[in-house]
Amino acid sequence: MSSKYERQLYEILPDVRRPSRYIGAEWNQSSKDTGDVSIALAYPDVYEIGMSNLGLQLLYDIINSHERFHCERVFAPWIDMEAEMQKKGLPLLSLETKVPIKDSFDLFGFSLQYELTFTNVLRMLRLAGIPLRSEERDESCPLVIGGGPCAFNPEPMAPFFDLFLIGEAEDAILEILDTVDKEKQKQNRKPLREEVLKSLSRIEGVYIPAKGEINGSSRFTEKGEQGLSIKRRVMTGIDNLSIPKNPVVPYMETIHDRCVIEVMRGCTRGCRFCQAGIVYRPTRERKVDTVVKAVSEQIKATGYEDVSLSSLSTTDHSQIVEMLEAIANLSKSPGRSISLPSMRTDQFSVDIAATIAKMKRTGLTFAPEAGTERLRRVINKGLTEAQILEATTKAFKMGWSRLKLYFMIGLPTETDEDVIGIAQLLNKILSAARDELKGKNVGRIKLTVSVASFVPKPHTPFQWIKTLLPEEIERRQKLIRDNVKSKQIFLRWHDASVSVLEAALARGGRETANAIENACKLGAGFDSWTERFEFEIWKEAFSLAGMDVGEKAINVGEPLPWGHIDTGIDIDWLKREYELATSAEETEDCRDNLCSECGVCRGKIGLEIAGE
Amino acid sequence: MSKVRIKYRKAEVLRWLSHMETYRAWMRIIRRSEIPIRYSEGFSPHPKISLGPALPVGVGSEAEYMDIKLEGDMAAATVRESINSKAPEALMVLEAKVIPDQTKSLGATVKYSDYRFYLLNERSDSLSAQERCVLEGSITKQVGKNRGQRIKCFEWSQGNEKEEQKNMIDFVLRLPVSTRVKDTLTDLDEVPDLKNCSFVVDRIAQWIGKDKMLAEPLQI
Ligand code: SF4
Repeated sequence: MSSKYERQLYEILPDVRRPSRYIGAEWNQSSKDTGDVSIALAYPDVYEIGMSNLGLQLLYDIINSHERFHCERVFAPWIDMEAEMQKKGLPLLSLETKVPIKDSFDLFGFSLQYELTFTNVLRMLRLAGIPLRSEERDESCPLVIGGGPCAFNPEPMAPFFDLFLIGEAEDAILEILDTVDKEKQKQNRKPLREEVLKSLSRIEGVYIPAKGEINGSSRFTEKGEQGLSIKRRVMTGIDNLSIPKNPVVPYMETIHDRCVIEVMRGCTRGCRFCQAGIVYRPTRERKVDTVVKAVSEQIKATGYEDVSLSSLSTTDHSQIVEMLEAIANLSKSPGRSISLPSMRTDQFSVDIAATIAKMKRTGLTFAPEAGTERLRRVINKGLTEAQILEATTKAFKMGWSRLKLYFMIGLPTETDEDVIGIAQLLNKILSAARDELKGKNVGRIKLTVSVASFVPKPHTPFQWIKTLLPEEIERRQKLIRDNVKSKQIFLRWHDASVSVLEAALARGGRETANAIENACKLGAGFDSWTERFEFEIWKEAFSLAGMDVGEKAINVGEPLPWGHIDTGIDIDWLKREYELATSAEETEDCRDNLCSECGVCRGKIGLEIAGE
Repeated sequence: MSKVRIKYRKAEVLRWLSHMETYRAWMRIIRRSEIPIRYSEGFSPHPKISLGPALPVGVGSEAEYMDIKLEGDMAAATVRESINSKAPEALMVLEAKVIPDQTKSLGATVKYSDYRFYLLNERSDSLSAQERCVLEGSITKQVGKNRGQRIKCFEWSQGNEKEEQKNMIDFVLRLPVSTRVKDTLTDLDEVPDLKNCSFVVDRIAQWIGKDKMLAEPLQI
């Protein structure tokens, strides 16, 4: 099926950057062009970013594997493309069949991975010709649905969505499509939005923001006791869940550009700043055989050489060694590499990295996060300085010369001593390497250090904490700079104002939507791209909405804008964790220690450890 | 070890792939096809695939070439079929030929390319001889100015039964490999009535020098 818009689209392509963003036609692209219910699955950023997202590929596969349902992808056209499309009067088109989203789909779903993509959602709605606010939409519009990590505080984006899905989508998305299908059949006419939404609201995990409105705002109580509580969807029996057999293979270079297999969901290490570590609890592992089979199928179906074993902390998988051996034995292709996108800073992890580096060497990344042992206890990172130095020294000894290190500043209770501690730790890593290598290859060593600013996220033990002002963040950045002693250490910063905005959007209430809409009107878009980010626009956008982009602390016990979203984690557990943090006390990982009673495990939901 | 020269198309929307993207696409297609591709040595081994002269983004082709190295021998027809079973239509292998090991690379030997330009004309009548002359002169001037090379323009045609191609003028230019296709039509504005018309370009042949004559890259 070729749409009449297709030719117009191709006429624009010579005039835009990176035209392959807009062509689709990749290997393993679904050939479906119709279904009883169709959904356009959107990622609010450019193609190559969106196609790096595992969840999108997963849902695309699940939906299109269903005989009655049809799913196409859509990405945000870059600024130049958007302008050309507007000039030609072209609406937002789907990637596969290049048809207008507004007329051709029952649902328009957005993956909300990062707060700084929010304005792109609005830009895409605008280009699609769909009114930005749910209340302004009529029967000609598809239902706009959002999901992903940012949906755990849906309020800042609530007015723009007809519904949200909170939590893991594998089952729920099919339930949603099925419900829409039934409504469509029931009435022999296009069902009214209101009726469909009413039926959808009965699905666990579905949140209809129009229902959560209280006098135009969303000041729920701490536990959402306004009679509304939306339970997060949690999948159980993860080993039996489907893994895409034929993932789409982009022509453009994406971030991963390899087979990505999710080997484990959730993490119970309990880092107190980490939202993913809370909202994907509990730890659920896939079995070795399952992973190996998936790797082998995907390699065949895609032609990828490299494999990435993805999870929040892959070296924590209870059978990681067996798994890597089995994958290495799959084929003797000389080009094969395996990467573990996230691993612990310890000797065991370096050993594992060394095993897989026999195939093809990939980079090594460590995330100590904080500069002193005390502060690492505060955030529950539980790494001693000795462990860090052992891991890095071992890595150098085994032949790595470049390491990436991640730190954060602005963490709760942080003092100047902690900040300088980052610089000191880096200096120690270098001098330990010098001692160990005794001069050999020391000159080749390079530490690339990325220092982010802490952003408090909803549902974490640090959700109440205030972020620092940009000036203070910059002062602390300078402290590190002044204390780093070597030219072999390369420091990279996150823009302080980006973190301030991120926090304001992450912890905002429903009123924040006005600021987001203002920002979009003032020209914001692709805010996560350094070349595009303009803090001045956002300051104005917030002040036009009568708000301040700078952050306030939330008092413990005060209502939380996301109080009605029930992740399964007990609020009292979060409070206890917060208290423990203030006294630098740790909580152990429940995977091999006592359950600390976070509350998520109940009924069928529990730890799923491979081999047990 | 053996070396195989492959002629393939790069058509439809895949004309928008960059040279690098095309290379990566081939790496994947070849791995999917499971033909015994040879890998380079070293820390990060990569398959031995070398593409011929880059095609500008947006230009389609019915005559792209690449050389690949295989472990052991494989019949050219088998190579073609194996690859085509795992390649999209728009990147299909048209021909494959086992070539001698010492064959010089495509990059070093390809001298000319023929491009067919399709101009989507707004008018319904055909171009007058005079207008063609102006057009040809403009192209020659443009290319000649930049490169000091004569170009050959031949095969004019116009009018087609198909409704959407009715007003299409097409012509073929043979350009030295160093000439940028984009430069050849920058003076179109000087041609009466062709202002603002859009055009589509396809590469239809490539030529290597052989015994002071031109030959197709597979004729070796
Ligand atoms: S309920 Fe206990 S075992 Fe389950 S994730 Fe929470 S702390 Fe771990």
